[in-house]
Parts: sequence; structure tokens; C-alpha cells
Amino acid sequence: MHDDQLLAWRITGATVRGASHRRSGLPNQDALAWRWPAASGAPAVLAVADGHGGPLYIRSDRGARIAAHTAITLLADFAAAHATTPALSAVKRVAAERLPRDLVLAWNQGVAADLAAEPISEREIAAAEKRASRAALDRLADDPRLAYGSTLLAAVLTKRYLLAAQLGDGDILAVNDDGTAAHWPLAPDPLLIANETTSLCSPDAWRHVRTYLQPVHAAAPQLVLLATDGYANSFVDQDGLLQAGGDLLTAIRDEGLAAVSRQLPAWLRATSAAGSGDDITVALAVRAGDPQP
Amino acid sequence: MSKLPGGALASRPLHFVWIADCSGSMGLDGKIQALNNAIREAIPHMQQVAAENPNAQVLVRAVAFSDGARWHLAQPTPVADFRWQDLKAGGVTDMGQAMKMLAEQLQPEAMPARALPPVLVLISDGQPTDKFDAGLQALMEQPWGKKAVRIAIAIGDDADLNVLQKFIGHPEFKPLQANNADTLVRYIKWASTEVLKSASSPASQVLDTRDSAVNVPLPAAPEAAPGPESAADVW
Repeated sequence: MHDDQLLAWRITGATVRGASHRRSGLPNQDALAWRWPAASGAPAVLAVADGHGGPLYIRSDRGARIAAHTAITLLADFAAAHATTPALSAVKRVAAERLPRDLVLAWNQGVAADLAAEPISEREIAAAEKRASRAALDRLADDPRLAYGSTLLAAVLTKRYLLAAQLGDGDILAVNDDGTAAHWPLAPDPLLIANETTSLCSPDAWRHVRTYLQPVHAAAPQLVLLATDGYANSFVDQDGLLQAGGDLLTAIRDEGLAAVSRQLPAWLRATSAAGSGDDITVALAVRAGDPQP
Repeated sequence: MSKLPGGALASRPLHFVWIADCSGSMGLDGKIQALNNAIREAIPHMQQVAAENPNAQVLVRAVAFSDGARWHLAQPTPVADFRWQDLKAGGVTDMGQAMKMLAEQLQPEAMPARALPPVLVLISDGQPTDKFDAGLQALMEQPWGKKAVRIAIAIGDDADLNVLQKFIGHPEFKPLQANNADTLVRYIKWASTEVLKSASSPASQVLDTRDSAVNVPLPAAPEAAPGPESAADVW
């Protein structure tokens, strides 16, 4: 197999409204975005985001979309800017030092543009008053960005390195050739329990962004999976999520990426209904060397 | 692919704990029986709320405190199977010991990370007779204790509101004051339905590390019931 083929990626994904959101009339507050050049297969860029469901976050579906879309633009630009940087250690340092600030800055700019185009209306505030406390509404009046609060998980997969960034809850898995999966290597933060998460709208949000860069070699993962926390919370334990990574790789190998793409929304809806009830978003990047029926 | 990707699926556990004062004073003026009746009356409503949200698995327990503390209902019991055995009054008010027992059960090893915030409902008519602050500290040192939705109901005028306020830990929310059986029924029903419904939602929000943070939007509490016809029915 030619190196270029070995290191090329194909992407799919799905985002579904959670079972409890359907019952309560809330929209899907997750978002999904990806980009990859079909000709070369790299760099592949993918992102998922989970807008907060709490009563204060009345535009979190927009905040999640802004997060996912600004992230893939930023990461694609990052990969292009560092395509010829000779030392990966330098790329890693820039990713750790600059990328968190750039991601949060880009999100804030996107939110500011959205607010300028459409300020939060009295009708939206009136709707929020049914669920939010007075103190929460006061905080929102002081800082309308809070309405857009969201997590972000993003990755760029180039022919030289794999780079991931995560702010808040959710999971990034690497699935090996034998189907075993592991968190890669941004393990779940034990502080993020009871529906609480760090967020793009947190003070000094960039400090909470974790990045990881891994050089590409032959043993690079066959599949990279990004998921919002509605997916992991649907399984009895973490092993169930890791098994999902292996099962999805098997399904892609057995049935092809197109077939998995078609079935993924139904799988995620059924998973939400029998599990967490939350919105679920999954992005998958699979090595192009795998068979594609 | 015939089965869904991944391991076994399950709704998220939601632990709901009654923390009931069974001191001797609860035996006066029918308070303990009013509490037993109120909880029993709330059960079908609680079960209905739980049934309306199948993505939360509501598990009920109860701690009783008087001379020391004990698990009145030790096993986390699915709400559909929840039955209430009457509490009996007698002894002092070792509320701090109850806090410590709760803290032990809310350790991370005992609580899966995917759990929803627990709901803790403290009901008391008196003042702690043991080291309440140490017990509360033990509870608040547990991440799940800090993140729990903590509700307090004072029965009668002798309840120590300062202690109940410390348990709630948030200046915006006050202890509910029940001065008669009808009001106690209202508050117990509110905690076991409206609060439960709110805690059952997977609605996420920004991490707040303050002890006074509220991670579940609390619905407005009901008004007290109109006063009883007989002064003898007032606690």
C-alpha cells in the first residue's frame, strides 16, 4: 500500500436529537462539521460540539454550530500553515500554546457576529424566565455570550500527525486495527460530573482546552471517533463506549462507509432512546486503506 | 449490522434520598405520622414523573436519624418498587451522623460518572445534637455531595433553620417551613415530583466549583397550605 493511501482518511458522522429533547420540545443542541479533500484524503478535519441544555443557554444550538464550524476552519488553516514545518515538536508546541486561544477567540468572534446580527430578544428572555432563576437571567443580561455555551471536540488528521483538541465533556477514541479502542489520550475529566462541564463560555475558556499531537506511523489508529457525552452516558459503563468504537470499525469494514453513514442516525436515535435521552453526535474518520465496498 | 454498536445500554441512575428526623419530638402532635403519610401519598406521583422520563432510572433510599443514624431503606430501590415503611419517633437528633452516612454512599466508587445529580431531601423539626458541621463537611467533600440537589423541609417552629440553610448551601434557596400536615404534604410532593423532574433532565451547564453552585434549575416551591381549622393542628 502506498504511504499516501495509508495515511488518507475518509469521514462520516451524524447528529441526532435526543429522546428527552423530543419529549420536552428542545431542539438538537449538538453540532457536527467535517472537511476533507476527497482527492488526497488528508488533512481530514472533524469536530463535534454539545450546546448546554441548561435554562440559561437559550442559543446553545447556535453556539455549538459556531464551535464546530469555526474549529474545522481553524484546524484546516493550522494544518496548512504547518505543512512544511520541519520539526513536529514545534508544531506540537504551537498547538498547545496557540490553538486553545485561537479556538476560543474564533468562537467568541462568531458569537459576537451572531449577536450583532440578531440580539437576544425579549421573547427569548421571556421563554427563559420559565426555566431560569432570576440570578441566572441577570448573568445572561451581563454577558449574552453565555446563551451560546457549548463544548468542543475537534481533530485534524494529516499525513504527518494527528492532532486533537477538547474543551468540556465528550469522548475522543482511537480504534486500533484489531478493534480495540482507547481514549486518545484525552481521558474523561473526573471533575465533569452531574451534567457540569467546562465550556467555551467559561471565564478563561482557553485554559480548559486540552490538546494532543501524535506523529503518524504505521500503527496509527484505524478509526478516530469523536462523540458528545450523550453517547458515553448511554452505555452502562465506559467499556460499552469503547466497544462501540470497535463495532463501528467492524461495520465499516463489513458493510462499507456509505452503508454505515446511512444507518448511523438510526443507531444513534435508538441509543439515545434506550440510554441517556440526550442529543448524540458522532464523527468518524477511518483510514482510507480499509476496504470500501 | 443487526445490533446497535457498543455495549449494553441503560438509562442514567438518579439517586433520590429521604433524610428523615426521627427524634422524640417528631412523635409529638402527630408529626412523624404526618411525614409517613406525606411520603406514602407522594409515591404514585413520583412514580408517574419517573415513568414520563424513561431516560432516568430513579432509585430511592431513606436515612433516618435519632440516636445515631441508620438506613431506613438501604438498597437503592427502583421507584416503581418503592414502598414506604412507617418511621417511628424516639431519641435525639444526630443529623451529623446522617450526613456522614450519606457521604459514604456518595463516594465516587459508589456512583457511576454517568449518574444524574442526586436529590437529597432533609426533613427535620429540631436542632442537631451531634457534630452537624463535621457531618456536612464530610458530605460536601464528596463531589457528588457538592453536586447534589439539596432540599430542606422544616417541620414546626422549633426546627433549626440555620442548620437547614447550611445543608442547602445556596443563599437563593431557603428551607421550606411546614407548620401543618397539609403543607408538609405539598412540600413532600413538590420535592418528589417537580424537583425530581428537573433533576431527571440531561441539561448540561457550565462547571461551577463553588459550594453554592446550583446545577439543576429548581422549580418554584408551592405556597403553604391554608391554615388548619383548629389551632391544635398547628405544629
